Amino acid sequence: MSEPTQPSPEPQKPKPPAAPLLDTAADNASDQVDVSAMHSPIMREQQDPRDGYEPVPLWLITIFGLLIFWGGWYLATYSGGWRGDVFDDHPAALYSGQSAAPAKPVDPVELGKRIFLGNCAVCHQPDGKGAPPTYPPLAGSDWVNSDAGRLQRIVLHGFEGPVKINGQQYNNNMPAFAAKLKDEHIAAVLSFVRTNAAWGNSATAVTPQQVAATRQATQNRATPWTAAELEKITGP
Amino acid sequence: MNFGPLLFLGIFLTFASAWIGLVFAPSQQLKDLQAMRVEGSGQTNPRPYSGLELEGRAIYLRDGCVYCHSQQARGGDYVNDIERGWGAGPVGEPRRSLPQDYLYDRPVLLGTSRTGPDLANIGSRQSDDNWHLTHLYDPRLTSPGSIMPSFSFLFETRKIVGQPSADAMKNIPVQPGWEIVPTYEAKALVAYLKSLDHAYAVATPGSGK
Repeated sequence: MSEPTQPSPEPQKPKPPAAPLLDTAADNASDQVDVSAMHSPIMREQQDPRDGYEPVPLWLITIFGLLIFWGGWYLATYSGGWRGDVFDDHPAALYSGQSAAPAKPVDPVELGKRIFLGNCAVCHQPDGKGAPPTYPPLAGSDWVNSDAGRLQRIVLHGFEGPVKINGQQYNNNMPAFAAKLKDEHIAAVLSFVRTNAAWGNSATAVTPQQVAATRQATQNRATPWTAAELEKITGP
Repeated sequence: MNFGPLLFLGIFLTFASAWIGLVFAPSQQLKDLQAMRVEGSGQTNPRPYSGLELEGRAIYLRDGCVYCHSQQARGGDYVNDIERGWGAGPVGEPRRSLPQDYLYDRPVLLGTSRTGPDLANIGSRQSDDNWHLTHLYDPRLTSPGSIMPSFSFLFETRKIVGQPSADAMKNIPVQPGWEIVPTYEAKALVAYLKSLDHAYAVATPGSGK
């Protein structure tokens, strides 16, 4: 092992007595010891396992195969063709090269609900109950259930000043929507509010023609309406 | 045996494939994205933020609005952002948020938590300065039941000396002889919130080939 083969320059010293390994008697008679008997406990053991070269178990290959198959199916189904514009307004038409299918006419009540949630609900609340005493309710409101012409004017040009609704006093401003909402939008949202039975409203619906007529009749109006002005107005 | 290089290679490939799929490929697809010109005007959709709006954006970040408010209207079958009226897009045609909407956002403030409502399109839902200021001063005044903290430190409550201020808050109760006035920071924040308005359609053939 590490025994020097070349003659050592220094004279060899006598070996120090070895530490007792197995037992003192065998150590004393080290020349006569039976080596195979000494090794027999070691030879009895299995060889240490070494990893890295065993075949992969079949069940693991099966699981990997299923995972890869599922991954491929998932990508094919949900990758959206790897397009960056897959969520744009008309993606199907864009990447199939076909013309877009004609848009379905939106249900007026659904359109009115969308417009209400997108423009009115922040103040009047999604349930139409308002936020007294800051913002008046639309649900069960005496103003909503009375004259449609007043409501059209309020939505078109806004509202300001004191007003009594359902017996409670309010004093706030509402912005104008004439520039933002088209006639059919105003008609849809007013119809949604006025005919909403779940809110306790039971007034008539409003048509886009009515809103167009009101818009025409009030086109010179530049300031928000006040309660006193609106209370003089009757008719659609 | 030394498995170091093999382990390194496996970990490297795992992260590299994720980076390529989630960062590199989308950035290559969307790198040519541009704001859409509005016909007949010099404006674009979306438009760049004004200076006041950018200052408000810094207030939005500083005061931690992003921790409770997301800015991403989601679409698809399993979420109801559109039904709740949070969608972007023109009146009556709500849509989900799209990459175009974030062109001028550095960084994009998508947010991860929805303790409060989504704000991706709050400027379109509510364009009234007075509402925003009242809501910041005390959210309960405009939104009953709101759990949003009051940001009244963005306002100054002071004794009226001579004429009352022109921009003093009108709807917030205050003792006689005093007035509540929004500071410059409050006005900047409201300007930023009102700029969160993506009420335009997006149909851009070839934007992400």
